Amino acid sequence: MAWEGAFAELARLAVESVAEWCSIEIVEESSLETVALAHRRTDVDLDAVAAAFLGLDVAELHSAPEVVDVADSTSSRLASLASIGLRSALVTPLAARGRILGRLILATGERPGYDDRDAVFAAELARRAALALDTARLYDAAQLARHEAALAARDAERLQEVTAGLAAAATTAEIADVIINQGIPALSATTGILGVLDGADELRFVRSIGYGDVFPDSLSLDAPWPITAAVRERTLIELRDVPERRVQYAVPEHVWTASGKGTLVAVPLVVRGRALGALGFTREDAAPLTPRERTLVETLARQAAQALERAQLYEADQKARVRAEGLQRVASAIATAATMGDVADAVASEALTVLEAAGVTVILTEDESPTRARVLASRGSVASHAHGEPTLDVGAGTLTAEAIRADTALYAGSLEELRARWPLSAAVAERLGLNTSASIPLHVGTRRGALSIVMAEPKRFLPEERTFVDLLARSCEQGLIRASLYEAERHARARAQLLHGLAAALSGALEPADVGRVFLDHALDFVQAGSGALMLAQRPGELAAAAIGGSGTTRSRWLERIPVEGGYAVAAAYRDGRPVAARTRAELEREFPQTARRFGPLLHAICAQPIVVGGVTAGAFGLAFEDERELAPDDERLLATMAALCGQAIERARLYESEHHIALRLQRALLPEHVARHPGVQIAARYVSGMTTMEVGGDWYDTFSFADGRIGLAVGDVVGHGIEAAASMGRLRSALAALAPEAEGPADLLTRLDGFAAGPGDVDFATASYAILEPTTGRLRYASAAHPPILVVEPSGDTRWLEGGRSGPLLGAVDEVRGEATVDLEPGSLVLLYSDGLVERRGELLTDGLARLEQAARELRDASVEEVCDGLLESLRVDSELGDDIVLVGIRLLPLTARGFRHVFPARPEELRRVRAAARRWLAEHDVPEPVAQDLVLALGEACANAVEHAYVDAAPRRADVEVAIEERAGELVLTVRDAGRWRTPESRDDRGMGSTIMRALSDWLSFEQREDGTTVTMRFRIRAEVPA
Amino acid sequence: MNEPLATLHVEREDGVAAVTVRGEIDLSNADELERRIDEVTEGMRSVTVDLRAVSYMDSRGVRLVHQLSRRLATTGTQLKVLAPDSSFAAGVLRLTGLPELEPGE
Repeated sequence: MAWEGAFAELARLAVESVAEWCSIEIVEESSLETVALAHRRTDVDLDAVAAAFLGLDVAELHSAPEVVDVADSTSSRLASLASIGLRSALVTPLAARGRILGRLILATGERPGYDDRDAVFAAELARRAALALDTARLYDAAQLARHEAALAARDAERLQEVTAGLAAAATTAEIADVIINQGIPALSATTGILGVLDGADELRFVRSIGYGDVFPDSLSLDAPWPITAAVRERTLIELRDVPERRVQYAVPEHVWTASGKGTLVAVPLVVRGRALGALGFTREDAAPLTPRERTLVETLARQAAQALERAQLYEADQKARVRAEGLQRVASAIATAATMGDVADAVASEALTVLEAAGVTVILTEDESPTRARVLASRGSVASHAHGEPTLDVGAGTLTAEAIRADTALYAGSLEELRARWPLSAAVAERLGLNTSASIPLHVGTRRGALSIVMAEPKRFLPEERTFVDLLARSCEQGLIRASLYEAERHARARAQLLHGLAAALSGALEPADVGRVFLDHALDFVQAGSGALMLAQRPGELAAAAIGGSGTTRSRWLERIPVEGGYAVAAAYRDGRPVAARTRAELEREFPQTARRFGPLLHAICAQPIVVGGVTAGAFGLAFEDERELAPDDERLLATMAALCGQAIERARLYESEHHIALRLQRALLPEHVARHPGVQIAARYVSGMTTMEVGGDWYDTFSFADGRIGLAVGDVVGHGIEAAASMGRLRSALAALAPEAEGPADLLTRLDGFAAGPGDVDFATASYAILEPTTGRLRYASAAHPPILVVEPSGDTRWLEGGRSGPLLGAVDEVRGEATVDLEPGSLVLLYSDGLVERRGELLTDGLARLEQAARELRDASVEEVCDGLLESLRVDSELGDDIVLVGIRLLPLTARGFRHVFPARPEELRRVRAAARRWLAEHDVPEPVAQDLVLALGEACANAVEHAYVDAAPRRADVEVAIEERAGELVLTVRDAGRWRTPESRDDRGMGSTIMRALSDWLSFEQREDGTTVTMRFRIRAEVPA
Repeated sequence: MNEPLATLHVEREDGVAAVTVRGEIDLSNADELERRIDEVTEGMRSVTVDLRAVSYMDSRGVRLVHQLSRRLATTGTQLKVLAPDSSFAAGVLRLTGLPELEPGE
C-alpha cells in the first residue's frame, strides 16, 4: 500500500534527526501492529525488542502525546527499549477525523531526553502520518466500495435475469434451467443441480449440469447426501472441500470426482414453510461463500421455490383440466357406445391419453365363469399382449388378479416393486418394457373386473391422480352396466330372431337333406364354427350324413358314414342322447380320439348334440371349430332349441318325402320323355313340380306327330294332389294320345276324353287344352276344356290369346257340346300352352298373371323355344314358390326358309301318297325348279315304296316307321329315306331292279347303307336346272 | 284320304278297248289297277292305254304296263300306250327302257 512506504520513509527521517529509534504502529482490528521501524543501533538484539512490540494492547493508546521515561514505563514494550540503552521515549498518537489510528514512538538514549519542543515536532510528524494513512484508507475504502457496487450490480442483473427467466418458465425443468444457468457463473461453480420433491420422501432431479450422467435421477430424502440433508434440515449447507464433505456424507466417490473439488453449497427450496426441492452448486475454489454469494444463493433458492410452487400449481391446474376433459370425453364416449366392448374401448383410449400411459386394458369376468376375466378392450403398447392372452385367471398371482380378488386398487410404481410383490406381472412388464402398473377393480352387476394401467417410466401415482383413475374406473363401470343391460336385451332379441329365422327357413325345406342344410347354415353362423354335419341313423349301428356345411378347412373331413359305437363326437351325442363337447385339442384327443384322428390337427374343438325326431333320438349334429372354443351355456341351450326345431322339420320332411317322392316319380314316369319332332317347328316342354307343398300331381303335357306331319299339342291339369292325381293325369294323357288319330279334331277329342276324366280318389275335375298344328300351313285348330288360353306371340311382338273353342272342364259327363276354333299362324310365331301354375299367384287376379306372361313372352320371343321356356319359368316362378306344379309347352312355327323337310310315316302302302304330296308342297314352297322337283318326287316315291314293300318282310320290326328328310345343302337337295328293316336283294321279281335303276338315273348321287338296325338311302339332286341345249 | 288314288275310264267297242288312267300309280294301287285292266281287256283285239292323265307313276306303274303288254302279246292283242313326251309316264318309261311301247299320239 502507498502509505506503508511513506511511513518507512518517515521513520528513517526521524532516526536521522531526532531519535535513535522510531516505530509506527497502527490499529489493525483489535491490536496494534508495527508497520514501520527505524533505528541507529547495531549492537543490540533488535529481535528481542521487536518481539516485545508484538501483541501490543490497544489500551496503551493515548489520545495525547506523552513523554515517557522508558526505565519507569509500565508498558513492557516501552520498558524493553531500556534494554537497548534508550532512556526517553516520545509516544504520539496518530489521529485523523477524531479517531486514533495508531501511534508514533520516538526514543533516544541521550540526556536529558525529550522535551515539549520535541513533542510538538513529533505531533506534527504524527499528524502528517495520520493524514496520509487516513487518506490512503479512504481511497482504499472507496475503491472497495466501487468494486462491491459493481458485483452487487452484476448480482442484481443476474437476479433480474432470473426473475425474467422464471416468469417465462412454465415447467419445473425450465425453472431449473434458469436457476442453474445463472447460479453457475455467479458462483464460479462447475456443477449445479436442482431437485424437486416428488411425494413426501423423494427428491427427483430435474436438472444436473456439469455431472455428465453421474448424478442420480432421484434420491430418497433420507439418503446421506448434502443435498437431501439441506432439505431434511431446512438449512443451507456449505462445505469447503472434498475431504470435509467426505467426513460428513456417504456420497459415492464418483460423484465427488465429477463435482467441483472446492466449495459445495446446498440449499433447500422452501416456500411458506413447505419444502419443494433443493438447489446445489460446487466449485473448484475452496474459498468460503462471500456474504454476497450467500445472499445470491439464498435469493436464487427463494425465487426457484416460488417459481416451482407456481409451476406446480399451474401443472396441477393443467392436469386437472386435462383430466376433467378426459372424464368429459369418457362420459360422452360412453353415452354413445352401444356395446360393452365400445364402452371399454372408449375408456381405455381416453385413459391412455389423459394419463400418458403406455397401455390401458379393461377386463371383466363372464357371467358363466366368475374366475376368468376376459379382455374387453386394450389400447396402447399392451394391446397385442392383451389380445394374445384374452383371459385372465382371477386366482392368479398378478397385480390385476389381486386387485380384483381383494377389491382394492393396487399401484406398483416401479419394476422393483412389481418384482417384490407380483413377480408374474413383473415378468410381463419387463418383457414389454414397462415399469409402472396399476389396477383398479370394477363391478358390473355380479361380474368383476379391473381397469389396468401400465406406464413405461417408473411413476408414483399422486393422490389426485389416484382420485382421477378411480373416477375413470367408476365412469367405466356405469357405462359397462348400461351397455350390459342393453346387450342382454339385444342378445335376447337376436336369439329370438335367430330362432324365428330358422323356423321360417325350415318350413321351406322339404327333404331331410334340405332341413339339414338350413339347420347347419344357421347353427354354423350362430356359433361361428368352421364346418358341421347333421347325421341321421339310417342303418343299424351307423349314422349317415344328411347334410354337411360350412366353409372352414375342416369341412372336407366329415365322413359320410360313421359307426354309432366308437370315438366319434357325433356318435357319442347320438348314443348318449345328450350334448357332448371338447373345448381343447387335448380334450378332443382324450374324449373323441376317432374324431381327432379323422380331422387331424386342424380341429381344435367340437360340440355335438342329438337330434330328436318324434320323441326318438334320430341322429346328431356336430360343429367343428378350428380354434379352441367353449360354448357359453346360453349358446349351448340355444343350439339345443335350434336342434329341436330341426328335429320337427325332419319329421315333417320325412312324411312329405315319402308321399311327395312317390307322386313325383309317378308323374315323371307318366310324362313323355321326348317332344315330337318336325322340321317345320321347334318344340320344347317343361315340367316343374310344386316344390314346397304337397302339390305334386296332376299337371301334364304331350306332343305327338300325326302321320301326315301335323303336330298334336296337349296340356292339362288334373285338379287334386298326390298319387291319385298323378295316376289320373297318366290315364288322361294315355287316352288322349290313343284317341287323337281317331278324333276328327280338337273338340271331338276333348269330348271323347271326357269319359276318362272320372276316376277314383281326389280328382274333382280336370282341364285340358288341345291343339293340332299343321306346320306346312301354320293352321292351328284348338279347343279348351276350361284351361287357360293358349298364347301366341307373333314375330312382330303382337300377342293373341286364343280364347275360342272354350268349353267346360272334363268331368266325366258325356253331354257337353265342345267347340273348337282355328287360327292361322304367321311363320315365326311362338305358341305357348301352359298350366295355371305358371300364371297364378295367391291373392292376385288371374288377369294379372296372364299379363305378366304376355309381357315376359313378348320380351323373350326372339330366343329359341328352349330358352323361352327356361326364361318364362325363371321370371314367372320367382314369387310363386309356394305354388302348384307347372307345365309349359312352347312351339315355334319356323319360317319356311329355315325348314328342312321331314316326314315320318307308318310303313304302309297307302301312306305313300301323303309323303309325296308333302314333299311336293315343300318343294314348291322352296321354289325348287319343276324338273328337279319331279325327279326328286319320283326318286322319293321309289325309295319309300321300296322301304314299305321290302323293309318289313321279316317278322316283328321294332318300329314300323319310315323317315323321309330333304335338306338343302350347298346347292343340292339331299334326300334321305330311312327305315328300320333290311332290304332283300332283288331276285324274286323281274322289276326288282327297276326302282334302283330309276333312282340312279334321276339322282346325281346315290348310296345305300344297310345296317343291323335298318337301311338308309341317300340321294343328291343339283338344284340349278341345267341350261337346255 | 277317301278319294281313290287313281281312276280308270274304260270304253269297249268291237273288240277294241280304250282304257284311260287318271291320278297316281304306286305300290298301293298298282296291283288293283292291273287286275281291273286285265278284266276289261279280256278277249279284246286291240287295247289302248292312255297314261296322259297320270300325274305320278313309278316302277310299279312301269311294271303294270310291262305285264299287260306281255299278257296281251300271248293272245296276239295289239297294245297301244298313250304317253307323249310331255307326260310324267313318258319320262319313267324312258328311264326303264321299254322302247317297244308306242309313245302315243
